[in-house]
Amino acid sequence: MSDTIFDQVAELCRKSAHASLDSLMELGPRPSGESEGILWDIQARRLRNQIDSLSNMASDLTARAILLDLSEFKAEMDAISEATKKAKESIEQIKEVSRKLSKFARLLDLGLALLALPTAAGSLATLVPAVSAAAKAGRELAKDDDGAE
Amino acid sequence: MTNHSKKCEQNASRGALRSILTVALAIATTGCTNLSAVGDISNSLSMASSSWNNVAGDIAESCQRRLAISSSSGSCDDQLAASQGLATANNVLRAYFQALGAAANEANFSVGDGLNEVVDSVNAIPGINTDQVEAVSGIFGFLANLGTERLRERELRRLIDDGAGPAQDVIAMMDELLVDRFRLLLDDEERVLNAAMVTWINANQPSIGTSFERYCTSPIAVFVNGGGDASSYALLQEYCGRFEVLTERRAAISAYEKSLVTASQALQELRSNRTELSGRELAGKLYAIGSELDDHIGSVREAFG
Repeated sequence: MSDTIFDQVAELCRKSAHASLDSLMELGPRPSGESEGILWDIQARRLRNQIDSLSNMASDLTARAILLDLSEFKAEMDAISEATKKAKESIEQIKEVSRKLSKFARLLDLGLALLALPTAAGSLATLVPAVSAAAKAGRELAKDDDGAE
Repeated sequence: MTNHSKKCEQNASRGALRSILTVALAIATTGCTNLSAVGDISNSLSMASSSWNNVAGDIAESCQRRLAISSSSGSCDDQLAASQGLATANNVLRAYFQALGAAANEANFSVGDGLNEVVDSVNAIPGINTDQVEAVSGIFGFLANLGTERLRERELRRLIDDGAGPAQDVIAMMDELLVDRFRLLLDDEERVLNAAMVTWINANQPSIGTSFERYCTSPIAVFVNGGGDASSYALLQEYCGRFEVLTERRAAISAYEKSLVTASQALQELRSNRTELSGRELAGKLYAIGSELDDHIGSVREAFG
C-alpha cells in the first residue's frame, strides 16, 4: 500500500481509536451506585465519541488517499479509453468490409449459379422460367443491397 | 447442344468449383483462426469489472452503515467520491474488455446469414444444381469470414498492444493500493460497531458479557438463560446482523483481490501470445483462467446478494 500523508494521519487516528476502544472495554459493566453510574456514563460517552470521531476521520482520510492514487493513474486510464475508442471505430470499419464481402459473395453466387444453368436447361420450355427465376433472384439481391446501404 | 459441349460446360463449371475449393482449403489449412477463447475471456473480464463496482460502491455504503450507529455526526462525501472514482475506473476497464470481446466475437461480423437468404432464391431457379449452389455459397461465405477474421485478429493485436499494459497497471493499482484500504475501512466500521455494542452490553446487559457472538445464532431462550433480557434480544440480533455483513464483505474483498490477480494474468497471456491469439495453447490457458475468474466473480457477487 502506498503511504500518502492521508494514510499516515489515518493510521494515527486508528491507533488512537483502538486505544480508546480498549479503555472502553476496560470500564467494565456500569456500576449500580448512582454517582459511580453517572461517572461511568460520562467516561463511556467520552470514549465512544473519541472512537467514533477518530474512526470517521480515519475513514475520510483513507477515502481521500484512494482518490489521490486514482488521480495518479489518469494517464493509464486515458490510454485505455483511447485504445477502446480506436478499436470501436476499427470494428465498425471491419463490419463494413464484412458487409461488402457479403455483397460480393452473393453476386458471385448468382453468377456461378447462372453459369451452371445451361447444363440443365436443355429446351426453350425450361429456359424461359429459369431465366425469369434468375432475374427474380437478381432483383431480390439488388433490393437487399439497396436496403443494406 | 451436343453431349460433348454439355460435358465441356459441366467440366468447366466443375473446374471453377474445384479451383475455388482448392484456394479455400489452402487458406483454411494455413491460417484457420478461432478467436472464441479470446472472446470468452473478454466476456469474463467484462463481468469481473462489473462485479468490482460492488466493492467500489461498498466504500460509501460502509461509511453509511458506520454513521448509522455512530455517536458523532459526519458525512460520507469523501467515501462517495472514492466510490464514484473507482466506478469510473471500472467502467473504463469494462469498455476496454467489451471492445476486446466485440473484435473477437465472430457473430458481429459473420456474412453467413446474409448469404443464406439469397441461396434460397437462387435454388428456386428451375434446373439449377442446388448442391453446387450451396457448395459455392458456403465457400464464399467461408472466405469472406476468413478475411474479416484476419482483420479482427489484427485489430485485437492493436488493442492489446495499446491497452493491455495500462489496464494491467490500473488493475495492479487496485490490488496494491486499494485492497488493504478497503479492509481498513471495514475495520473502522467494525470498531464503531464494537464500541456501540460494548457500551450497550455493559450498560444494560452486563450479565451476557462482551463475548456476545455466541448468542447471535442462539434462540431467545438460550439468551435469556444466559442472563439476557428478552426485550433486548431483537437489538442483539440487529448487532449480530451487522457483524455478519462485515464478515461477508471481508470475504468479498478476498475474492475481489483474487479476481484482480486473475484478470491481470489473463491480460498478460494475451500480451505474451499476441501473435498467436487463435492458438490452442493460449485457448487452453484462457479457458482455465476464465473459469477461475468466474469463480471469484461469483464469490464477490454472492457477498453482495
